Amino acid sequence: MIGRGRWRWLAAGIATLAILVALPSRATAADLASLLASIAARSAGVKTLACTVRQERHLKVLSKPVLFTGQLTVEKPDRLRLELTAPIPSVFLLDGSHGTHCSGDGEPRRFDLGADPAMAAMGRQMTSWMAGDYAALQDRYEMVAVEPGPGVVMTPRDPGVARVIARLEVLFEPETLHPRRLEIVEPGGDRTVIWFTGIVVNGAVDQRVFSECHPA
Amino acid sequence: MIAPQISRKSAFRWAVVLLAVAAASLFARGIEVREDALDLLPSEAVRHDTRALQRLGVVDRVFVSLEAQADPGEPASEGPPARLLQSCERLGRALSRSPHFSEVVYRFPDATALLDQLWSHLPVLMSAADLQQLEPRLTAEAVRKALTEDFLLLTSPAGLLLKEQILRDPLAMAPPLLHRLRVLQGDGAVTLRDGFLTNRAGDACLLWARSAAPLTDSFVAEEVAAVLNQAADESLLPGVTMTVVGSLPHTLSNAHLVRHDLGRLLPVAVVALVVLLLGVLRDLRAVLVVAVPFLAIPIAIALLRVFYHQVSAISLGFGIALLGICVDFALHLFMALSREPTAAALARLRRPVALAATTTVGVFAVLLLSDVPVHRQMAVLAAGGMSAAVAITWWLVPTLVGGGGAPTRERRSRGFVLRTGWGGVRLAGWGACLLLGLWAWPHLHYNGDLKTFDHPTPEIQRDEARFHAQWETSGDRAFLLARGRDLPAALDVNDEVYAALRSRGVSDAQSVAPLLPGPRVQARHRDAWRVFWGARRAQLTADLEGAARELGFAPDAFAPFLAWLEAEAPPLEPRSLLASPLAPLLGSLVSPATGDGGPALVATMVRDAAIAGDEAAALEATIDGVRVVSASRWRHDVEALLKSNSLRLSLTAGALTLFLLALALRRPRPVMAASAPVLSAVAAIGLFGWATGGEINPLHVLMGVMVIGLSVDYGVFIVSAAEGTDSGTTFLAVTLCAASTMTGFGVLALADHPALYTLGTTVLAGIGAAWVTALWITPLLLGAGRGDA
Repeated sequence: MIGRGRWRWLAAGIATLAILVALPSRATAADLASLLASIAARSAGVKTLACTVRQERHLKVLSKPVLFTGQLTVEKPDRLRLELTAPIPSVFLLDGSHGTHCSGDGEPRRFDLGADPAMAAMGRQMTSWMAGDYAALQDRYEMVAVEPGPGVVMTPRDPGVARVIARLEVLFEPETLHPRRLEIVEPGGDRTVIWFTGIVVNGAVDQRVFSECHPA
Repeated sequence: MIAPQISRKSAFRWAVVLLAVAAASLFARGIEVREDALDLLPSEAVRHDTRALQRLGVVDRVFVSLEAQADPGEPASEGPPARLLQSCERLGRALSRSPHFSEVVYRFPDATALLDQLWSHLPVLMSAADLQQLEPRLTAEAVRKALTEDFLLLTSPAGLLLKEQILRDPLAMAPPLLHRLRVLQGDGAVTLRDGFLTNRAGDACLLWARSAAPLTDSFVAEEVAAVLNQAADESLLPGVTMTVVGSLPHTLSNAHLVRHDLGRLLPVAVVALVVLLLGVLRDLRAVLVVAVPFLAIPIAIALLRVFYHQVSAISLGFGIALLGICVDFALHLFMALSREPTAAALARLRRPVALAATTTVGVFAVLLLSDVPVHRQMAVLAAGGMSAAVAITWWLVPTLVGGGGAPTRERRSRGFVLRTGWGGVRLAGWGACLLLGLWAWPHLHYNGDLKTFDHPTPEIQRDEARFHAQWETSGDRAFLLARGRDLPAALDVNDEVYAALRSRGVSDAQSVAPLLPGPRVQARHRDAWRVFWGARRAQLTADLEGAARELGFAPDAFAPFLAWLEAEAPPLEPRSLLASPLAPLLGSLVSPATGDGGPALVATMVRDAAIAGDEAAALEATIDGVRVVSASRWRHDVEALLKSNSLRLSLTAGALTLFLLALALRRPRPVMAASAPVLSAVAAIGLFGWATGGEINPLHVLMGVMVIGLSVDYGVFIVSAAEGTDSGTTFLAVTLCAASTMTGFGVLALADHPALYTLGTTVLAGIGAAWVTALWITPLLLGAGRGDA
């Protein structure tokens, strides 16, 4: 049996703990501005970025989460190649106004981003997430800095984007401020987590990677 | 005691007239004036066609092309510059907010949203042939391959956006529907970039807006242009320029030019008229006297209101101009009253004034038989107004000019015509002129194209050429208008039109048929869908579930898709598509039935050349409820109708004039003599038309009516003067009347605008010939002895 006085102490303790836990998890606006300024300073010199990715996709329509590994190459302002090598090879390309997805020996599936403004916006934002142009995203997303971080939680302001993304969370390497982990949470609860390792900035990039679609 | 009695009598007359004018003015205020070029068109059928195009916004659409000027400092990019698209969006939004525009298209709807809209209607949009094309994608292997692609897409970044689409349509049946959007875009090289319509070079962006009010109205055009320019000033970013094409710049250009011409020429005409009257008559009262007939204007407009609640500005303007003929009666009265006792002058003039007024009113009344609405309104205005003007003039002018007044200049010029000789030569010359006129008329081409009166500036021509080059648009378009009591019925007809065009090899028609078929086609598609899936559903379910399980999909991942295949397909209601993001695009091709009984319209647009020759007539003959309106065909029809209308009216007016003259003058010689100025005027108009390009247009016909009305008056007055006791004023009065008309209207021959120029030259040629004939030939025809006495 717990006495009434003890209940009060326990409740006060839980409340205090909750406050203590909550407080450090949301940094101040000054922290966010400072973080974004640091990321902007770092990203100013970024022209290309290449890394290894590990992607975990949690979808209700799949029996279990799917884990992929592969390579990501980004060139500012609007070119991206995501090549997943295992378990099933596939390539996703964004190049200006075109998007392409290839797998196996089938015909590439092309997306005319010109005819699909939502897809075009997403394409531009993907390169921004990776290349660090968060200042450009501030008018499209509500941003909050998170601790422990450094990291940013972004909630879309645009209803078109909010239809497909409920929340984004990006965590950065403390030293380099390169993205370390990206979590995309969708409105229905589906989510994707991507880890980035072995980041190479402004390395030599063969331009063909943005046009040759089929997986190696 | 006599003077006060006359004074009281005059005051009474003026009071009655001014009261009538005031009452008429009050009544006339309720009349609604509109500017509508359609009122110049003959035949209800042609007007219907044109109104149909107006309902679809064809006439009132403004096309705006924004162009990004090259900026050397701008980094090179593959697509159009961002400032161009931003400007396009800002301007499109600004125009969308304006109440002056009812529909603004500047960005195509999101493809995902469109697929969401069309997806549930797939069963009524896919034909049996479309379904057959699905067959190879339904084998077990193909289904597995499709699901593998779906799986990979779902797990790619694109999956974020495509997830719902993939689960709803795992076999990707719907995306081909998006290609059907191309048929709504029409011709020209339009490329979608981020939803914006850009040209092939990527340096121009297109948007269009439909004016809420008719752009053929110059006041509306001024307002719309101001709104457009202000929106452009506020929306366009530096380095982006705007080009506007459509009816707007033409209306503005014409209105400005007419205003400029009238501003320049009217003061000249007024000053010249006053100088002429005062110079010849040396009497200030003359200016007052010629103003008297215009008191009939409010009465004429009030009379018009009795018959028409809404009148054309064109008929109002021309009708009032026709009332100017009455100035001639005022001048005859003034000159007679200036030198004769009132009773004697009125007695002498009663017969010629009555006869001249009757023949002129008769000519105007003939216009009531015209197919052209403007003619009928003018007839009421001019015939009614002229009757009132003659009565007012006859009643009031004697109150201004007392009988036997001070001698005026005309006394010194008495008989200046009568002493002229060379009668045979004059008659021979006149006969030759008539023969030449008789020869010229059949050689004239009747041009009924209203573009004849269009005067685009070089800047407009340059803009249009640039627009066509920029957007690679072709020339004239033809409209195939499908009509029905309601929209579904019109869509059924439209489906037949589209199928007929396809069977004739026309593949670039702009039509809603592939996206919005009518109920008949929808029912056919639904039946085909039921049969197709009825035979394949069980196998597909097994293959789909097997492949899904193998790839790691949840067991019920595609259950909604399979349930949908089995469900009864809902019909695609036109209303739902017209309320969708496609509405602005469909608005230019679809117009529901109007509340006042107007039919529903669905238009298909093709290149004019695509249905050249007998194709249009063949389509109309084979498909019930379709009407083909093409620029070339329309011009041909309008010209033929106007030509037959003009011929019929001219012959009727001529016969009526002859009849009235014969009734009044009884003998052939005076009838011939009175008709001579009319014959000369008609011959001169024909000859002038032949000498200046060989064309006559609807304005020649309109002014021709006025010229005939005036010419017959000259003949009547000269015949009366020559047959009766000539006061010596008639010849000078006719000369003064002709000179004043040629001064007032003739200055318009100096106008830059083609319509005003036509007015001026027709009057100069017609009245000039009628005047000379009245003075030199009419007396001869009455009898050389009397004329040359």
